[in-house]
Amino acid sequence: MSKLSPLEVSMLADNALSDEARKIAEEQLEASETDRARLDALLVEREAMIAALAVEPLTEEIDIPAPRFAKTMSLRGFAMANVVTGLVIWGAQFLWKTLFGELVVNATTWFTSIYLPDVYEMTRTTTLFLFEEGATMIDAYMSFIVACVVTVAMLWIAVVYRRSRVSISVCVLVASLGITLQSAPVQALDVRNSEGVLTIPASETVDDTLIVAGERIVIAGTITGDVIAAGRNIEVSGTVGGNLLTFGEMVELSGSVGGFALGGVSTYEIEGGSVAGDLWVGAETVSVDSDSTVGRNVTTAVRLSSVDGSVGRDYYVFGETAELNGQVQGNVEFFGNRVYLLDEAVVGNSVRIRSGNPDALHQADSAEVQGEVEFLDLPEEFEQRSPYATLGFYLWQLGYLIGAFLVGIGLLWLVPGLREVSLNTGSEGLKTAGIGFLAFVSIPAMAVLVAITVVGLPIAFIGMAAWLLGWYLSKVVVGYMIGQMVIGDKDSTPISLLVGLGIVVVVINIPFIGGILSFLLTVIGLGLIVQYLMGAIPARDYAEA
Amino acid sequence: MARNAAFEVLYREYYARVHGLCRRLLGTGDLAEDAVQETFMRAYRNFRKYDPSLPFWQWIAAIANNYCIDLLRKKTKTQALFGEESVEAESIVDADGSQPVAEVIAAQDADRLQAAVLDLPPKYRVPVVLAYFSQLSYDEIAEQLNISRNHVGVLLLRAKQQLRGALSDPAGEESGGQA
Repeated sequence: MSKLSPLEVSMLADNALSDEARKIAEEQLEASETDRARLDALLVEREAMIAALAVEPLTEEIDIPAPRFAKTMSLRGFAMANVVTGLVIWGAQFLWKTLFGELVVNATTWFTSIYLPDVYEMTRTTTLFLFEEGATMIDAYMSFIVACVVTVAMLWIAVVYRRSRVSISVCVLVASLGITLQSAPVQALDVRNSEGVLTIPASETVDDTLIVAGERIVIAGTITGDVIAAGRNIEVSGTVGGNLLTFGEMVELSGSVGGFALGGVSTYEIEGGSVAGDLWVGAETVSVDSDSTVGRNVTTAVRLSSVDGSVGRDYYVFGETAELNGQVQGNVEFFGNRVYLLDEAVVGNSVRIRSGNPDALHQADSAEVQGEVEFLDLPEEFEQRSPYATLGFYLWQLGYLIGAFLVGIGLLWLVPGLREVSLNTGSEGLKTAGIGFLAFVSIPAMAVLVAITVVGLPIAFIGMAAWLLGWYLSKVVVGYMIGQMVIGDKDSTPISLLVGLGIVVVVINIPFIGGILSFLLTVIGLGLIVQYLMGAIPARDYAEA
Repeated sequence: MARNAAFEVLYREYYARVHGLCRRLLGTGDLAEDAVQETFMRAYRNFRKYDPSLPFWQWIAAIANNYCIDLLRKKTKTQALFGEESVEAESIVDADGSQPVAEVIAAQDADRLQAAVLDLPPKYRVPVVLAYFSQLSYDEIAEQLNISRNHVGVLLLRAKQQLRGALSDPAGEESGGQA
């Protein structure tokens, strides 16, 4: 009579039972001759199988051609090497600027300034030097220390988690961004803000790009780089070597701008000023007085646009009313209700008026148009047309599909673990969507909170960049997942991705509900990415042994 | 260069065993050759991780096992390559009965047994190879395959039952030993 199960006898023969189970089994064997016979047979069988499966040792010398053992540089390695090279170059530039530019040069300047002076002069010079350069030096020291800490931390993480390709990629990326952002303020950025009046006096020259924010901003000095200004009133009477970007209520430009000028304000006035490049303004009113010049095109989107000065090329107006009492070398193109060519107006080429109003043009007798005056219909884009009836829509969607496909191939190649993401159950889908929605809401909120502090500003930038990247990649990830569900073949990554992205493109363009579906797919994709990064979706470690 | 030369010696010494292991795990010679090359390349790339206090065979066999099992998983469309333990266990009760045990296998020649092992489905073949070729313990196999220890026992028992069935079938003798 058998007292042991077949499994117990089999495991006993393979010596795989635990000590306790083995003891019990052996007691049972004492009482059952059948089991003892079965065990003996299985032991013989085990030896027979081991003998049969064993590989015969080579009895004679056979020349086995060995492959060429060398670490080949894969495309992935090449890409990584490029990233690392970029990082090293950034690091070198940063160190050069920090160590040489700020530490060595400043220290040398300081030393030479106090060479053989009397005590009073030395104290005065030292104090003045520290007062003027101290903040920059401390900033440089701190940046250097922070960069070192970030780099060491990243290297440590890369060493600890060296078996994960993703962690190394992320570490390198973060270190690169960190060092870039750290070096940026030292190299070419001057950030100033004030709750009251912020003035760059005429005697001051800023050799970097200047970012200013304040209630009232007065720039009378010289800025060699770009100026980005945000404030209620912005007055630029000095010289801007680069571009001028202004955001606020009122801008008065009486100085000169070497590049282009771009403004998003209520009132934009150029009085005796000059812009060497283009002028782009979105405002309530824009005026360029007779003493002002714009070297290239003027493009305005306004209620009232008035140009009395000189425009080097074309003058485009999108708005209610346009007035020209100056000189335009090229064309005037007007989209709106009324255009006035006043007494002093000179147009070097044609005037094109795109308006539904045939009486839109009011031309003074002395106004001169050297080309033709044309009345044209509104472009098709201005008419209410279904986007689905345009070729451009489909070309755009095709471009999006191709772009997303290429990005997806690269992403899944760099992060193969993302190929494993899936939603096996409905509840898992809800959970993923919840996590995605949380990431969607919380990351920008945290970025805003962190950005309040100067130290947190780079972190906020990185966070928002990651958020935007995740926003884009979410559809790629969810598209691949859908493609896998449709194709059902994990080996055909490109086909799954293409099919999935095709479905996503179609779904998000369904009339009326496409927007909602697009949002849902995005939060699910974000949720999958977040879960993967947090390790909730495990990827098999392909590292050996 | 010295390292390359040293590794070539290891390659020649262990080639036959690694090839045998891969062939038995994959059930076909076509894939086995590629698997051997990949195994040695992985071993070469990760040689710094090798602990010299352990036998080289144990280390390289683990690499080969990992690679071959991953390959089988990729080729298997379903998620669970080794099936559900409960389902397998149920079929033991049905199939065990009073089949001959030692008499069947002990009487066979090694080639027929090898051929029969190669003909097993991967879910049975892999545990058999790991248990009787690599001679891993049940715990080691369980860890390797990411299944429970008991599940290993069930799979091995089912594998042996299938082997007995195949070897006791006279029709199988015609094709035996040719695989």
